[in-house]
Amino acid sequence: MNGFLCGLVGLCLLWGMGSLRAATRNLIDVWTPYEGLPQSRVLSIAQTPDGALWVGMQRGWLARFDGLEFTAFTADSTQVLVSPEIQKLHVDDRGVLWIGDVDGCLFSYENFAFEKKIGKTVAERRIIDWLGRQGDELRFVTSVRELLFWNGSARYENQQSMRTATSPQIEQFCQDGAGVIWCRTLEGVLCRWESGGLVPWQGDDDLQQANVRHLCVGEDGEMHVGTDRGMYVAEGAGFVHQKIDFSEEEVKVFQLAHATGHGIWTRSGDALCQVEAGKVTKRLRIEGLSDGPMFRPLEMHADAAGGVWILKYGNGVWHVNERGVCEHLSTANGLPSDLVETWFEDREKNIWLGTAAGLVRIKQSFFSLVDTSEDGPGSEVISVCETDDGSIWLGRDNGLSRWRDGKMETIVLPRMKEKIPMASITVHPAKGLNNLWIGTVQSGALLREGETLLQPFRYDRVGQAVRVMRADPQGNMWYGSEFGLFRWDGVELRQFGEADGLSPGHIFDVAFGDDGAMWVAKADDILLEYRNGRFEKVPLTGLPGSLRVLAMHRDELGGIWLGTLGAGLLHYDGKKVSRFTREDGLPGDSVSQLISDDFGYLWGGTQQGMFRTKLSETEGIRLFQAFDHRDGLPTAECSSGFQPACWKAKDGRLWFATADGAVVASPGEVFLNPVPPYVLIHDMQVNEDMRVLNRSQDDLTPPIEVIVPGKHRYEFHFTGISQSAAEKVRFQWRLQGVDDDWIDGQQQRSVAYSGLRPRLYQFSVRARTNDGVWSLRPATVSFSVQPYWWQRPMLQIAMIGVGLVVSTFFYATYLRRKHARQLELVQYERSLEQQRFDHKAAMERERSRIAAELHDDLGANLTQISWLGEAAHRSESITDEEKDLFSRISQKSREMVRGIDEIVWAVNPKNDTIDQLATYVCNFAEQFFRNSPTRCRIDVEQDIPVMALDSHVRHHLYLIAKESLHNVAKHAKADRVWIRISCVDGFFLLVIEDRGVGFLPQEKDSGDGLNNMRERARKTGADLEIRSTPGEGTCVTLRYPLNQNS
Amino acid sequence: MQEIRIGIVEDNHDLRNSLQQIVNSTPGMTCVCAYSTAEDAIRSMVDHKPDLVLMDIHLPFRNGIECTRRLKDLRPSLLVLILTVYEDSESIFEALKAGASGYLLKRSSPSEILAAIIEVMEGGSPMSSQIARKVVSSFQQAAPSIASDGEPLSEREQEVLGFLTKGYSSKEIADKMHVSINTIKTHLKHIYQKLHVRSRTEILLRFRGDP
Repeated sequence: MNGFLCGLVGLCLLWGMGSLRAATRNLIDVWTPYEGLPQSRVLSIAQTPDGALWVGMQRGWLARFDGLEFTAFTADSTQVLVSPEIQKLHVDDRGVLWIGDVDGCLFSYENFAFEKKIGKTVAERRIIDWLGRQGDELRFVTSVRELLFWNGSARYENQQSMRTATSPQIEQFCQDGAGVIWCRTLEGVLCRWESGGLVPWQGDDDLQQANVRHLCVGEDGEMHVGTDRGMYVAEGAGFVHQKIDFSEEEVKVFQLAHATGHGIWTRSGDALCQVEAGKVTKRLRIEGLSDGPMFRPLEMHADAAGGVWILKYGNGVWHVNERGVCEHLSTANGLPSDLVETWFEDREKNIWLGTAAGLVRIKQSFFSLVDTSEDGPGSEVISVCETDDGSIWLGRDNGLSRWRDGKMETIVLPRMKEKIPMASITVHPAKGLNNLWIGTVQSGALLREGETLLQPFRYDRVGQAVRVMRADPQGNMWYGSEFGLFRWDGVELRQFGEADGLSPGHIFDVAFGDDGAMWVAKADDILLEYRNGRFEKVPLTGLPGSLRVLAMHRDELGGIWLGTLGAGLLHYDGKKVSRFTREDGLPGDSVSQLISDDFGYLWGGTQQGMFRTKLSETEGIRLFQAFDHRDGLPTAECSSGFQPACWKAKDGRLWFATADGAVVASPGEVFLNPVPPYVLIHDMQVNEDMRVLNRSQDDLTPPIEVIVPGKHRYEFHFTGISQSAAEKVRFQWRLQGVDDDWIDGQQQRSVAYSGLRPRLYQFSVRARTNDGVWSLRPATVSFSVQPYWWQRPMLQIAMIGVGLVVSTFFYATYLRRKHARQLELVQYERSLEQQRFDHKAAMERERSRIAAELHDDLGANLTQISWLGEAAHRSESITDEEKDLFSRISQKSREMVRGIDEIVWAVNPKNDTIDQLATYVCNFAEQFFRNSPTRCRIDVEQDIPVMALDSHVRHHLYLIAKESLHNVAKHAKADRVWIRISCVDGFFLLVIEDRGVGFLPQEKDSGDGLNNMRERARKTGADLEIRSTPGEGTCVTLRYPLNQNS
Repeated sequence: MQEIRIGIVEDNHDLRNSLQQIVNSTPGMTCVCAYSTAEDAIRSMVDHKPDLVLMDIHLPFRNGIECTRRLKDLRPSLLVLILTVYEDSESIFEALKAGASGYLLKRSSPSEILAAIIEVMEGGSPMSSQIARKVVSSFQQAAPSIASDGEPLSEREQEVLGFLTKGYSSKEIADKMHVSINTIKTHLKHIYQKLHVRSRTEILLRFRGDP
């Protein structure tokens, strides 16, 4: 056993440094006018059958939302709407959108057309509620509790003008499944609407004695009545008192809300109950619900998932989910305003809130986050694993954390005898309940047993760095890095090498099969298989030349997955390899984490988000579900370079290391949205001519568009309406006659074609959501391009022939002349070159010698003087005056070193190139401005050629730049100076620009500095341009032709 | 904070003494050893357990770059700050590849020297735009035999380098990227580490490749 006890020092634990941000599983997205919402106060929301969301605003008219963009409708654009204040939106059972405004007008919208149904009446008659339909008659409630019956014409009942002082004051109307209208009065009396008036309920049940508080319609359209004696439900001709195990408080029902399949929610003060089949299945109290000022009555809505939402105007929203967990949503946790005007649930089960400051969407997330941000600098986690005691270990760049029982603790490993730097920590469970392997980049692998840190083998036995740690099914540990592959069997460390068929190279990852097989992802070879004691290269064909693997995973079906740097995801099934990239739906092409869950899915992490795909899919298109911050991820960047970077815990949850803490996914809770996207082709643009088509997937026999003859550019704009993740909707299109198959257009929402020959075309688009659901049908546009009279095949062939003959003739002549010119030039240059070369070599030797001597002797001695001066300056036995003298000596000698530096640079022939000049100018500028208020910005073209530059030219150009920078510092009073260096069209270009005070070039007669610069430019043959305007700054442009001295 | 233990390698007797004096007269720092040649330093410096070494780049026989490389092998956690008379990008870059975490012109004032020591201890000292450009291109061009060498730069490290090549200071970069200056220092530290590991691998593979 060559392991030895390295340290027994007690480990210091810091408690409570991190926290699980898991409480909020509601993902809140907000749209405000910054995101395109026409106005921020949203009063009403509805959804049409095509999936589009309609938003009515207080001063912003009406807008349609396809999940990504808002389309505004105003009086101008519709020629129908009157008021910018849209009070109520409702979509009836036939898909017609009804729009009620503040002036009592009523409009309808159907087949892309608006229609006015009721013109201006009185403001009090504005519609506040929708009751339902009876035959062809639609029924609404107005703000003065009149009933509006619409059947081609309007009829108001229970009219305000006909009511007397003794008429009951109606609080709520409700229509049951049979079309009967019920209402309750302020006094708590239940009434029934019979033609001509309201009749108080007079059944033989005891409902008459009860105080009616609320009405709602149940599962089968039967009326539910909430009273101070409990709940009554209509049955036959009467109402039956429900025997429910309510408490004394709960029995006084204030409010009811029904959810299909989830019974009835009741509210009594602060007490909330869910009643299913006559039993209370959930009960909880929401503290403070009925406290404080109540600006409006509370609103209660049940959602399709079995939860309930309570709106308190001015206090946000309370959400009780299907598990009975309550969360208060307000401005404190993401709502734009606590003034919630309206609530809506769309078909994709998203909850929408209209607030005074924007539109809000609430989705459920199955990700939670372990926050490590308070824990030292940077919150990046690079490695994660779970030990048998259920602790989750997080390896950090500069530390180690443990997550246990909902608490995070930082484990401080002492700097073992000063010999072990702990950087880039990877973690892997070791044998035992909570023993842990710790891999580091500079200290090899360490074993933590209990509180003791062991070093089983010397850090450099594994080549210092450990980047990959994996255990095989036999319990041996494997380590990999750029130094090779190593195995520790508990006694002995073995390195695998050439003798095992493993050439040197970076080991990226290791994976194991159940049958003793093993795979290694390695540089150059990509994938190796270990069988019968040897590594064999697995031949993978059709891949890019140099692949760098970031992660490898062997799934339960025997497939091998490889995540690469920039080249996407590879799948090898033992025979062939398939490659998937962004174009196939991956969020990013650098896949650094791979793991499979208990539900048959592969999960992966990339630098742009996470994804999931089914393992079993073999035929057809492989679908990827992408996840990013909109799904609750804290960051898109998953860590890379170390393994294990993700881990499946024993409870089935998946842990991922990211640049901003660890992310936990619960694969069992992933909600698949079954609603398909709805495709719509907005318009077709032919050159500048826009044709609005609004061709949806439901238009099965659309008319044919006729296009005039000519060469046109055709552009189609389309959308796929989806409310859950519209930004992830992907499109495919096909232009029949041009495209052989569907073209994968990814997230692109427009496509252009040109050069279409005259004939009939059909353009189709289809869409798919992130959850892999295709639109039911594609949307289609047919169009016919008309021919010109001369667009006939015979005429065209003849013209092409003539063109070919003429151009061939001209090109041949050109080539001949060019060749002759080149020959002459080459011969002349050769003779000159030999003469120049001999002379230059001798000069350069001499210059090198001078540079070296200046550098080594003079430079070193001057530096010494400056430091001696410093030492004297710091000594305590001298007077202040002397100190000052010494300080000046140091200062002066430092300046001299700087000066000699410049001379050495100018003399040394190794600097006789353009890139050296660029480097030196930049260095000078950076140092020159380092301690000045002027900020210096440098922009050097990446590929400055290593082209020779005569030493005197180089020196002059440098001095011009220097003078110019001095001027900036002395005169310009600029806060920024830009230095741009590039080589363009055979010119070396140096631009120094500031936005300082500037000057008038002609007035600056004293400018000997400028004259100096001009003189130097003239000497070298460079072109110097100095532009300046008082108050706007100065721009000095130096252009030097590069071919001049060659 | 624990006292910073500093070692010095400088062939000029007076400079060495001045440096020692500067370090020792600063609270929180102590000079634990000083050598005049690379050979002496390699032989016994590690026994003194310095946290940081001030290394002259021009030493007789083995130069400071070679000395840095050997010291980093012996003690990977050691931080090396290069001292140089001239801002010669090429040799500075070589020193960084050998494992140095920063460099300093000898004509710097004592307060600048001390500031640089603190910066290196906290992460890495910022590099000039020209050095940053060299680092960028070094990571871009992988020699064919070592396509597989060390870690590539992360996106954020590349972003930091991008700002450096444009002449931004650490503080300005931190503001631009909306992170703390500590984060920038961590990025810098990683860049220095990766550069070092990369060139180590390069040497290792070249050595193995020889028959």
